[in-house]
Amino acid sequence: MPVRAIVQKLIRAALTVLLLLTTVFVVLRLSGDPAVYVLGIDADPDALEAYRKQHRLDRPIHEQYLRFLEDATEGHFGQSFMEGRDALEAVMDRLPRTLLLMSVTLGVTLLIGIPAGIFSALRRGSWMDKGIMAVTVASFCLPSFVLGIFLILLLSVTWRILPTAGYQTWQHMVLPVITMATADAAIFARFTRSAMLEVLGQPYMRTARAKGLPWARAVIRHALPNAAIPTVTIGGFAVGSLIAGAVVTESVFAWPGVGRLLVTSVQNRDLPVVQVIIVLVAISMVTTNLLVDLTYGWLDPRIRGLMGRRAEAKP
Amino acid sequence: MTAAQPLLALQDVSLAFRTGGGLVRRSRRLTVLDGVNLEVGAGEALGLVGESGCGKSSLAKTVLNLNRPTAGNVRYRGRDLASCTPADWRRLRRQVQYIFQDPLASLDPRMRVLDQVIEVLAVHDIGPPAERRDRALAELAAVGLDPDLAANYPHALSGGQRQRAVIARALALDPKLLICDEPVSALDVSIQAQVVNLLAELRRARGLALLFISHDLSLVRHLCERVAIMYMGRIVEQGRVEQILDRPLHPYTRALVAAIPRAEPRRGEPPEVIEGETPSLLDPPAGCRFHPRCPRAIERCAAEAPLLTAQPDGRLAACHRL
Amino acid sequence: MPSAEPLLEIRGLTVDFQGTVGRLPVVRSVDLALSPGEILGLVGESGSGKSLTCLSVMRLLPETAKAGGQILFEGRDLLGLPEEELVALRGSALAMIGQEPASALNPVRTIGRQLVEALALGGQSDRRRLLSEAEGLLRQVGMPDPAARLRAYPHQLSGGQCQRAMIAMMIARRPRLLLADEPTTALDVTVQAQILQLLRRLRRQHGMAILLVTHDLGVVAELCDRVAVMYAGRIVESGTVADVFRHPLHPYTAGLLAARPRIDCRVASLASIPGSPPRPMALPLGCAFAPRCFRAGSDCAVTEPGFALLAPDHGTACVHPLEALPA
Repeated sequence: MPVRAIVQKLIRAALTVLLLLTTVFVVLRLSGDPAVYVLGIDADPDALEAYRKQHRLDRPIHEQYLRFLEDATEGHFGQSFMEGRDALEAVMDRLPRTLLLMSVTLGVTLLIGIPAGIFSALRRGSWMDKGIMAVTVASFCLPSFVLGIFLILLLSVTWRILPTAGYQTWQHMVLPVITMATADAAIFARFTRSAMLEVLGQPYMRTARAKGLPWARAVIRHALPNAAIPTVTIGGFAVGSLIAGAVVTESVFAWPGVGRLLVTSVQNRDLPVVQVIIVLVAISMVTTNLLVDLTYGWLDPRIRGLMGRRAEAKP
Repeated sequence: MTAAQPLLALQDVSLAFRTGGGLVRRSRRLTVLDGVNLEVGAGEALGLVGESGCGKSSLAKTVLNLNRPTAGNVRYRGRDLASCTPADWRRLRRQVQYIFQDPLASLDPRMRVLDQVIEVLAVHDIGPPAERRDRALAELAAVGLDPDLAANYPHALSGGQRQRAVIARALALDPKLLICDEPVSALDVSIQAQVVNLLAELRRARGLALLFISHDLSLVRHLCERVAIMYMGRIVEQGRVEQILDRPLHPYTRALVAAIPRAEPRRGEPPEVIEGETPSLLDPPAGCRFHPRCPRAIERCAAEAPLLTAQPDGRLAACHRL
Repeated sequence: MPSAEPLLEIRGLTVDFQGTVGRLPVVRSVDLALSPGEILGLVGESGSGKSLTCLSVMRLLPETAKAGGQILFEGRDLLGLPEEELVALRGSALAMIGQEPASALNPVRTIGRQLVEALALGGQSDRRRLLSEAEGLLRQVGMPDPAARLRAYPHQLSGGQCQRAMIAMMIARRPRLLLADEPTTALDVTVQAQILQLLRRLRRQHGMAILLVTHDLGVVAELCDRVAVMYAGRIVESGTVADVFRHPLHPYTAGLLAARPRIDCRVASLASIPGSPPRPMALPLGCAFAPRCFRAGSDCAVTEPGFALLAPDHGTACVHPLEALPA
C-alpha cells in the first residue's frame, strides 16, 4: 500500500482530533461560565473571581485556547471535583475495566454474529435462516437497558444464578456482555448475511465451481474474502456502538468503568472528567476509522489502487 | 463536400480532462478527442465507427453540449454552440435529437409511453394542446406502435418496442438531425433489422440527417452514405462508405474490416488479426496513435502524427504510408 | 455424420424454473451431439434457452432451475452423477467461459493465484512449478507480458485480457470440452477476432471440442463446424455450417441469415422477422415460431413439429421447411 496514502490518512486523523479538541473547547466555553458552574450561581463574587484567575479564564480567548491545547497534549485536563485528583488519572483508572468489558463483548459479538450470518446466507430460505433472521430483528429492536434489566430480574433476582452488580469475578461479566452483545451480534448477522448473499450471486463463484472446486472450498476461498469487505465497515460502527452501549450498560449493571463515570460526571458537572472522556472517545473513534480504512486497502486491491489519488475519468 | 453549409460541423474539436490530481501527484491530461473534423450535410447520414475508448460517445456528448470542447468549435447551421443562449438551445433541441443505446434508461419508467411523447410536444409548445395527443399517436403509429402498445409503461414493452418509442419521441419534434449512439446494440438480431429498417425509412420520408455512431461496420454500411473511422480520439479515415469498406486504406480500417466475422462460411485460413489492444488514453503512443499495433509502421510514425489528408479518390486518411 | 463416438450427447434436455406461480419451462427439449475436437455453434436470441443449456452441462444451474433429460458425456449421464464425481469432471474434462470475464474473476485475488488454484486441482503442489506453468498458460493464450500479469488483479486488466485469463484458467487441465457462452459479445471486434483465433488454435493444438453459444451468425460462420439453431427452448435446425448457411431449412434460420447487414454490399432493406421472440411464460400453441413465420399454415398452430432429418446431417423441426437441395 502506498506510504503516501497512509501518511495522508494519519494527517487527516490528527486534524480530526484537533478539530474535536477545538469543538470541546468552544462548547464548554459557550455553555456558560465554568466558574459559576463549579461554585454555584450564588457564590461569592470574589470566590468566582479567584477561580477564574486560577484557571486563567480571564485571559484572552486565543490564549486560553492555546493553553488548552498545550495542556491537552500533556494530559492535563484539570482536577476532578468529585475525586479531587487529576481528571485524566481518574479516567485512566477505570479504563481497563471498560476495555475488558468491551473486548469480551466484541469477541462474543463477532463469534456469534458473523457465523450466524454466514450460515443464514448459505441456507437461504430454510427454516434456520428464517429463524435466525427473526431472532435478529427482535434482538436489535429491544433496547439494551430493557434487556439488561430483564436479565437481572430473571437471572439474578429470581433464579439467583448470576450476581447483579459489581465486577470482581467473571460471573459479573456475563449479564453485561449478553446485554451489549445481543443487539450488535444481531446487526452483524444481518449484514454478514446480505454481504454473503451478494457475493454468492457473483459470477466468480460460478467460475470457481466451473474450475472444479467443491462448493465448500469455493465458499471459503472466494466468497468469504469478498464478503469480509463490507463486514469490516460495520466493524467500525460496532466499536462506536460499544462505546455508546458501555454508558448504558455500565450504569444498569453498576460496572465501575468509564461509561458509568461519564454519567456521574455529567450529573455532577465534573467538567474536567467530562472533557477527558470526550477526547478519549473521539480519539478511539478516529483510530478505529483509520484502522478500518487501512483494512479496506489490505483486503481490496481495487481500493488500494485508488488510494492516494482521486477516481480517474474513464475514457 | 456539399457547397451548401453543412448542418453540423465540428472543426478541430479537442476534448481533454484532467485526472488523478492529489496533494503530491500532478494531475494528468486525458485527451479524449484530438483535433476532430467532421461534417454532416442536410439529409445525409454519416457513420462514426470505432471501438471502445475511441471517443465516439464523448463526441456525441460534445455535440449535445454535455461536454465543452477544450479546443475547436461545434457549429450547427453555422452557429457556434458555445455561443448559444438558453433560448437558442430551446430552438436547437427541436432540431437536433438523439437516441442512446439503452431504451429502458432513456424512458421514464413511471410514465406511459404515449404520455412521454405528449410531454415532449408540450415542453416545446408544439401545436394546440388538444391536438397533441393525436400527434403523439400518429408519431407512435409511424414507428409501428399502435395505440394499445403506446398506452403501456416502458417495462411492459420489449426491447425493440422501447427503442421504437424512443425514436417516436425523438421524431415528434420533427428534427433535422438525429444523433444515434449505438441504438441497436442492445437488441436481438432479428429486432435490430426491424429498427434499422425503420430508421432508414423514416430518414427517407423526412429527409432526416443522421449521425450514426456504432461499432458495427455492417450496420453503418447499410444505413449511411459516408463513414468516419475513429481511433483513440482521432479520425483516421473518412469518406464514402463503399470506398472505405470495400477498399480500406488506413491500416486500422483494414484491421477492423478484416476482423468482422464473415457472412459466409469462410474458405481457407482467415486473414491475420492485428495484435494487442487499444492502449490506455492516459498514456497514448507518441506520433501516430496506432503505430505500436500497425503492421506497416515506420520510424516516422512514432515521431510525427499523420494529418488527415485528401487521397486521390476523394477520401481522407491519416497515414504516412499512403 | 460425425465419425467418432460423440463426446457429448444431449437427449431431451429440459430446464424448468420453479417460481412462485409454478413451473416455467424455458428449455423444452434439446437434442445435441458433439464429436471430439468439433466446434458446434448454438445460436439463438434472448429467451431461447441457449445459456441454460450450457449451464446444464456443467450442472451449474441456479437453484430455482431443474434440469431433466440426459446429458451424456463420454457415455456417462452428467445429470445423474453424484456431486463429487461431477466436481472431479469440472475443470479436468469440462470447462466453461462466459460473457463478462471481468466480473467472473475474483476481484481480490491475483490472476496468478487464481490460475495456480486451477492448476493445483490437477494434483501438482510445488508452488514454483505451478507458477511457471501458470505463466506458460498465459503465454499460450496470447497474454502480453505474462509474468507481470500473474501479479495483476482483474480490475487492472482489459476485457480482452480478462477473457484470456479466464480461458487460461479453464484450459489449465486440458479439458476435452469447452463450453463458451457468448465469450466475445462484450468485446471489441478486433479483440473478438483475436479470441476467436485463439479458440481455433486451442482446438487445433489440444483437440478440444467447443460448444459455442452465440447470437452472432458471423461468429458461427468463422469458427464453427456445425451449428444448431434454438428458438423458444427447442432446436429448430441443425447441421453443418455450410449446409445450414447455404440452404437453411427452417424459416427462422432463413430469417436470421437474411436479417444481417452485409459488410460487402448494401441491400435496399434488411429482411426482418416481424414480432419478437416469445417470453417463456407466454408460449403460443403449436409451433412457437408460427406467429412470426411467413410460411405458417393452419396446421402450425395446432401441434409442435418434431425434429426430423431431411438430409444425412441436416435436420429441422418444421412441417413446412424450405427446400433442401439434394446432398
